[in-house]
Amino acid sequence: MQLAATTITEPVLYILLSLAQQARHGYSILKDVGQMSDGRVCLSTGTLYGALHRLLDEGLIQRFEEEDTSRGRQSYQLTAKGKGILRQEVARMKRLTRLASLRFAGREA
Amino acid sequence: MTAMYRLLLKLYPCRYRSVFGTEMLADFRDAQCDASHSGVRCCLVFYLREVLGLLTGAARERLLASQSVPCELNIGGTMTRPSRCRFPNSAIVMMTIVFLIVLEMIAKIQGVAHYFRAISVDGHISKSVRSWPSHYGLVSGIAVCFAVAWAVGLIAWAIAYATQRSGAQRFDQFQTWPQSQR
Repeated sequence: MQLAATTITEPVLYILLSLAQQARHGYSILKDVGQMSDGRVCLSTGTLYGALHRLLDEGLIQRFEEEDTSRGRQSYQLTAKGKGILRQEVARMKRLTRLASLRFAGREA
Repeated sequence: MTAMYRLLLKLYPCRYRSVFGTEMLADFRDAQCDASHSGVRCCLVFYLREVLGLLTGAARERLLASQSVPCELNIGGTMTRPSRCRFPNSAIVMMTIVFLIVLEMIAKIQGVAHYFRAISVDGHISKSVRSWPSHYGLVSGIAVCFAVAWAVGLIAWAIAYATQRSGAQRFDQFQTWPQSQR
């Protein structure tokens, strides 16, 4: 699968992870990212929507029609391409973690 | 603070605002409500983060918008007009204001440094420097910038006018050899 042009930074990864579970609107993503990172990653609305804009442009996420749009809110969900990129990124991180563990184990032995 | 948020949102390109503006404002209100229950320090950090996020986000989106397609959008507001130029007028005004603020800050810092240099070792201030000097005021800075901008614009217009009158722009359509004989 092709890599996305967007660099998967930590905030972007958290956003994708947040949407992996279910479709969410902006504020819900903000709170979920804060909870997932134990308050370490606090996104501002400007940063969040900048990232959402790029992810929408690259087709990693899409807008999800909500029944209640009274507050002008829009939900977002991962696309198939977005899920693929996320899986790929997580697999890359797993490989990296495994490699780091092996290297540390080799040094300690 | 919501009014200030609305104002800062105007720094974004209008297409971006029309897509995300309402959502951003709704999310800001909810986040503000949460932050207000978490104490003064959290609230201040929250506002600072939001302002910085908006400023950097607006700059990034403006840059991306200028790189992607020529701006043919009506930016709106009193200082702008529909434009086909790649750089919206509001961005130019914003950049001028930021530039002037930076100039003002530099002048103030220089003034303060000059003031502290003037204090002698025993703590007395030399008679020549009794007040905190400032080399440039904001008003004079604005006047200088606008004068320079006007002068540059006038020169550019004169060059464009002279080129147009001389017919030099038609040289690129000039055929040196008939098309059929090539």
